[in-house]
Amino acid sequence: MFKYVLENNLGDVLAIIGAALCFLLAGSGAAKGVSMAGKVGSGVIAEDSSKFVPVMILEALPSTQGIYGFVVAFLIIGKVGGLSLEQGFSLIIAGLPAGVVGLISAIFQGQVAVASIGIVAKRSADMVKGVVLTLMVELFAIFALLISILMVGKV
Amino acid sequence: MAVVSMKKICITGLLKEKKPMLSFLQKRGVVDIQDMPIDSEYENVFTKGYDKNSEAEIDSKMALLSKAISVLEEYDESKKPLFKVRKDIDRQYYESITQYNDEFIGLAEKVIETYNSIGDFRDEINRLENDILTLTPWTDLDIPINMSKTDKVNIVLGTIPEFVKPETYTQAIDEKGLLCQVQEISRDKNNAYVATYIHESDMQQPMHYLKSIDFNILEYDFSGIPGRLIEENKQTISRLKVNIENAKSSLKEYALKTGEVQAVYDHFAISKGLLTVDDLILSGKYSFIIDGWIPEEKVEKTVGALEKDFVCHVFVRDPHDDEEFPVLLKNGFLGDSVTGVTEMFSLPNCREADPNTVTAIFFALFFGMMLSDAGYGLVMSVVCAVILLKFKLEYATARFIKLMLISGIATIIVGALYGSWFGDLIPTILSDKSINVALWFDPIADPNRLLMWSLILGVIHIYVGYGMKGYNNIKKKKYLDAVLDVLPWYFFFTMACFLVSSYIPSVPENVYMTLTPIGKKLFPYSAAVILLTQGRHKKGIFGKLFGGIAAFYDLINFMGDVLSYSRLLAMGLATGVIGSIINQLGSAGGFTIPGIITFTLVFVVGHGFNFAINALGAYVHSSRLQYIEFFNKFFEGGGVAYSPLFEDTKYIRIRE
Repeated sequence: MFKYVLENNLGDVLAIIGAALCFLLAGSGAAKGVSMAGKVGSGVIAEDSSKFVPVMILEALPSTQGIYGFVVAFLIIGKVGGLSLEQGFSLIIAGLPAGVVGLISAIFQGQVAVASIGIVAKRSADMVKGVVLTLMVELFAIFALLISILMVGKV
Repeated sequence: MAVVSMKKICITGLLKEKKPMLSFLQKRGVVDIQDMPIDSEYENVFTKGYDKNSEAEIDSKMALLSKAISVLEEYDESKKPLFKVRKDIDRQYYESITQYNDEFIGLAEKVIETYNSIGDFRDEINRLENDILTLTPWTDLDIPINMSKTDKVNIVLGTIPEFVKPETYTQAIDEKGLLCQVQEISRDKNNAYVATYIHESDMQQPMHYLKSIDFNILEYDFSGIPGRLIEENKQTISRLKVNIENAKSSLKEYALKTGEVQAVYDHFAISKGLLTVDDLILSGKYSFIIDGWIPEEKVEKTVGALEKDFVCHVFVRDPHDDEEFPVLLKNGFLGDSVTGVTEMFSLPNCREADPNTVTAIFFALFFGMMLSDAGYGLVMSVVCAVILLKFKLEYATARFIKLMLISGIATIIVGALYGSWFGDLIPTILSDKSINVALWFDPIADPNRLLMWSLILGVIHIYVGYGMKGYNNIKKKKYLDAVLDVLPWYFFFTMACFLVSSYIPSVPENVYMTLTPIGKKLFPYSAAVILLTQGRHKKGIFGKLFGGIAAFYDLINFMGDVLSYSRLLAMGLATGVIGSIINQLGSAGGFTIPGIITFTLVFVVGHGFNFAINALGAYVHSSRLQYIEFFNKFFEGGGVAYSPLFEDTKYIRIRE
């Protein structure tokens, strides 16, 4: 059995694992980040419903990590079909930056988003400053996405 | 693309003409009145400030009117426009309304009274309905519910749990020979409602027994026979409902006057502006002095009109070199569109160039690259164009829609270059994945190439930022700085880029084979230039040297900034890939009727979602690239907005 898998398309299985891993990590991180911001945001809206739009924008920011994970997972899935063992392993590794950095940065970004919602609660006009602070964290997820895309492209 | 140049204006007039003149200035809305300090030697000549009591009075009237307006808007049945704009009304008409201020305040009071009465009626109905609910079990009781005794018999009302059978207690009462009778009136799923009649000679024993079967005494403070009470309550409720309907219809009738009430509200807003401005101007015994800023182009007309209508002296001069004046921006379509985004960062100060037009070009370009789908861009542009042409808009809304329009157009162009029309809709519909509609190249197939172009655009954007810095220095007549703060950096950064060109993916080999040697040869010279020029403001030879060395750190910043533009690729790819996935999901049903229906559904919902999330992303990331990477290079900001004394209204716009 093991020999069969080894001789045939274990590479494909590995790639599938890589895609799953990548999205599992990034997706759950994004969910966590968004939910953190959402919880605090609902409190702010309960006090002043006119702040819905700025709160919504801030809440949506940590969701991009999920999208990045999705994109990389999709690119990996696109590679599936007669992959060799090395290629399969490479794809697992290629998915990791978007996955792991996505997971961690989404949670951290969620924390900054929560703090920025605090800004909005006091002064809606300063929303953009909060957005910029929150986006600072995002840069690393973007780098991770790029590295992943470039690595997937090389396999 | 400009900061409007301002002149200082100083008006001295007669005190008896103060009100009319301020009112005149307010109608013109051109003079930004500044706070004028009183010199200590004139403290007993001039006074400042206004009557706080009048302000409180106006505030309370405005609060009343504003509450009435919110009620009236609720009951206003006329069609509401999609975008809220202030209504244009004629000054004559406005003045004819404001003659009847008191009547409209009376109307507002009536509106609020009527509105509150609806609330009271509703509370009353609730109370009556609750009473009916409480009384319903006793409907069949034909004695007054509060009757507790007759001559010899005490009457106690209460409940017995539903599971205690009537036979049980009748039998028990008989066997014990108690002077008591239990009459069941009604029952629900938990309890039987009973009236017990107990002879007054012996209350103790029957009560003791009844307690043992969980008899629970109920007392009511109604008076009357339950059936009749319910009937009465029902009648009152229907009468109250009629009252509510009447109140609503009179509110609807009042709502026809919403426009007038709004005009009166704005009348008070205007008079408040006129009142509070007294805090800024000096008033003496016979005269007053106004000090302010006025846009250069308005000077002639305003001064002419002032001197014609009033006895006054007007003095106008240019601002001193070190004097800050309020900032008013004047831009064409492009520059105007992005001012909202820039203002969220800061207003430019009065001595620097207005960056809006340049910013608008890059904003739209980057937005386009990140949304990167011609289909989405087309939808956006068409919607924005229709809104701009068909609807009346307030300025802030209009400029946002303009920004979205130019961003949409940029998105179409970029999308067409990438060959992305609603993802890969065209190849999907023709079911031939090999079709390439890209005018340039498909970034999903060759992301490295787009990465290179993103970084190059980043370098250009940053260079333009340095260019703006040079331009600002020229404006300030610091010609040496204009050269030395810009050109050495261009040289240095360009050489650094040449040096690393071979590490950037997708740069053709012959290109980096030429660039790298140039970079290698010239980079040390460019570094030397930086070392020699960037410490020049520091004191002492060591200060200058270390200042120069510290400037090298900017190279790291520069690299970080350039890499940050890789988001142009990442966000663009995300849109394209998700778009393709949606098409793939949608087309799974094939070319059959159910297949087409699923396709339509998936298409609309999926692309709607993809558009929303990516347009939001494109907007915030494009703003961020301006704020952090671009503005950082040259923008000083900190300008104070030009805010003239004008008719600051909420609901109406007065036309001459």
